Amino acid sequence: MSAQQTATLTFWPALRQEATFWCQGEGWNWLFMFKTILAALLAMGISLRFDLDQPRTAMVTVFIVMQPQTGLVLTKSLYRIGGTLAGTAASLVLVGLFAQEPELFILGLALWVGLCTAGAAFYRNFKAYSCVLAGYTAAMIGIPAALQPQAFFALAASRLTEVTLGILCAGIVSDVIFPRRLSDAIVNNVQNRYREFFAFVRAALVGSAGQGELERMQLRLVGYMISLEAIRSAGTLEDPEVRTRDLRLRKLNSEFMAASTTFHSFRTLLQRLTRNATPAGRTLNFLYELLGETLVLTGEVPRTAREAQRAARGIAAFRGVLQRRVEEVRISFTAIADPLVQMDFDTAVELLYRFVRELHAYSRTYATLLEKEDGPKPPDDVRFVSRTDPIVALLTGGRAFAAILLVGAFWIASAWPYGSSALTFVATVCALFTMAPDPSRAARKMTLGFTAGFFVALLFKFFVLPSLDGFVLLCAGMVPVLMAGLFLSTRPKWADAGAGFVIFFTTMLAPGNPMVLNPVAFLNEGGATIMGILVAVLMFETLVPAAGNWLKHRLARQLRHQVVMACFDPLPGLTHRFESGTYELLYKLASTGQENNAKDQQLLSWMFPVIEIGHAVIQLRHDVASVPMSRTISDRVQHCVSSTVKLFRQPSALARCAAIESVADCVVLLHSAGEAEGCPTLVRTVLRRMQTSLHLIRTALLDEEVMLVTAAVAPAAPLTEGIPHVA
Amino acid sequence: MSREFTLLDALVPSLFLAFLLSVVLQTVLDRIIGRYGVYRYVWHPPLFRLSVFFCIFGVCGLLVLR
Repeated sequence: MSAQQTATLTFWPALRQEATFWCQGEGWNWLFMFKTILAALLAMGISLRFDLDQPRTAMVTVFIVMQPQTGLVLTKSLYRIGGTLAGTAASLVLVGLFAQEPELFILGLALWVGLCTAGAAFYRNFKAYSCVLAGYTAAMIGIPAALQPQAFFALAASRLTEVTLGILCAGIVSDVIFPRRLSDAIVNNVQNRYREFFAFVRAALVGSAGQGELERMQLRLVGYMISLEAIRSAGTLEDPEVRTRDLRLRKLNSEFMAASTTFHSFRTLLQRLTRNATPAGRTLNFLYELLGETLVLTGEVPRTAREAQRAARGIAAFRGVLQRRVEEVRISFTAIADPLVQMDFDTAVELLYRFVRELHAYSRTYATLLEKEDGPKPPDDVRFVSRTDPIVALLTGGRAFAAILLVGAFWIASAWPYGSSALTFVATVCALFTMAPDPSRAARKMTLGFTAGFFVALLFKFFVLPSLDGFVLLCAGMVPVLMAGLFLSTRPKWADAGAGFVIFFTTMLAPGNPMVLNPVAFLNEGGATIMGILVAVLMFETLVPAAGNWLKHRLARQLRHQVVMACFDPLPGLTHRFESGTYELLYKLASTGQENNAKDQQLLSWMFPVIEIGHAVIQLRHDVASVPMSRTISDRVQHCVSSTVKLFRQPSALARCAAIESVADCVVLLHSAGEAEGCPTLVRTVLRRMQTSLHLIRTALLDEEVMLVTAAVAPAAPLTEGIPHVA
Repeated sequence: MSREFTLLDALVPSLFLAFLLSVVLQTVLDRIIGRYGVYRYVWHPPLFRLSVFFCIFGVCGLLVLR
């Protein structure tokens, strides 16, 4: 009896624990599924009640718009309405101009969709989304309208009504029933990132993780940066609370980037020094471990503002300790007269100081984020800049253009009665997947979903539907099928397939008043649609594939161009612009995938010198501008900057050699200027800082492992002979 | 007021105008309520917002169709 009692006693708490665990993870997915189905059925019910043409358009809209977070739904809805209006207007123009001329009509449509697709590839986030919509709405409305131009107005009006209805249903359901706030997602993102960043720094300092592990951690951190930027811009629509914190969130992101860049430079420098077992490296390791210990002590992730304040104070206190330790260690160095060893040491220490300073700023902003806003507004100069390649965007547009022309030509040449369905879907798929990181993979997955949806719809429509009578039974019949599809769409791996399944199932089922049951038309239309999708997939695979070399070369070029930007752009706000652009490129490069082969590795290896050198150049330019300098110095620094630019514009062993030489000359000049009599202390400090920046550039340029690309052009072995102990 | 009016020769239900008007009214009201922090005393702000919208739209619609 007592054994049974203890069993029941442990059973219930365990069950409750399990249930809470389920609710926090999987529970959200199921809630999302139920909400989506509710919104879709609501949209279907209302459209059937009001006798709209195609209840399926409203349902499909719900599936497309629905997102786990309310703020995303609202933002997406707004842009969707805008995109739909633009697409309708475009189709009005096309039908008005070319209703009699199918060739010209298809050409015009292809141009419009191509343009919109290019826009989608060029912009980011929701702007891109409305471009996508403007593109395929024109196809969706324009093609049926061109077949019966007299009915254009009614058709366009009813499509608009259905889309708006779908949006309203999705918005209301997701906002009213168990809303999941985007602000929670932001808090989550910020907290997770804070924790993971500290874990990353700790792992790197203690050496508990391998190189590959560290790189993965770093990429994940970059992912947090990009996703915070995305949800932040969406969250402003949902919640006034987010709007007031907006600036601080952006500031947090920028400080985070600064800290991780500095940490990265520091770590690479240290690796280079320890690899060759230089005296500086050994001593620095000691400081390094000291930092690691401090961070481990403050290791708990602060959840409240006060805890974060305490962590920030801990870091601030460490700055004092660090200063004392550095002075102690520096004494042992003055014995070694070699200026290069000194320089290594000074550079590393400067970087360490900077990192601790930035870490402190980051922790402080993190702490204030949890408090209410008060006090005067700080200046707003933090803008996230994303880099997109206009040529790649144009090519993406050209791909959509070619795909539509191809199918359109086939339609006209063969007088295919269902060509319009194929054309509609080729346009839709081309536009829809421009934003995906790997469009061909996403499109392939979705094709799988489409095909499955087609067969299930076939069975459902002709075997199950005839025996269902009334709206309630129709809903009851559809729910299990939709559940299956939506379940798949909550799994990240199968999300595209699940979405495709649900969308195509509803499209083919086409619930209506009265229901049209025509198996021959069903098969023909389904076949034509799948063919259209397959053509689009084929285009994704063959024309400028995302995993192809050309695209990666473009990315690498853009990456190198970041350094050019760091050298020439106006200084205010440049650091943040440089970092946001570079990290976004890194993210894109990493998400295009499989960096297994040597060639990709080589491209990715550009990344690290770009971050280091770009950052150092910006520091250098800031320092030159901060105090008045003599003409010779500023000219020489300018020469350094332009020789670096030359290297990054056109990488070659020769340019690299010239850059290294010019940097080395400049260091010597600055050194003698700093040692000269009568030099004010302030100028001397600035000169010392400039020397460390230059030294950092030089070590990065000398690093053979990093500078693989130029090394591949021509072996640069004799180059390092003069300075053997760096590199 | 009549149930439909013509906009560039297309018939538009006057209820649509009422809808747009209530959206504008609701947005203004929402800003005012949010400014004075009334939403803190409301159990479920989105539901409250929706209900307010329905009230406004109901009144406007009934006035239009009277």
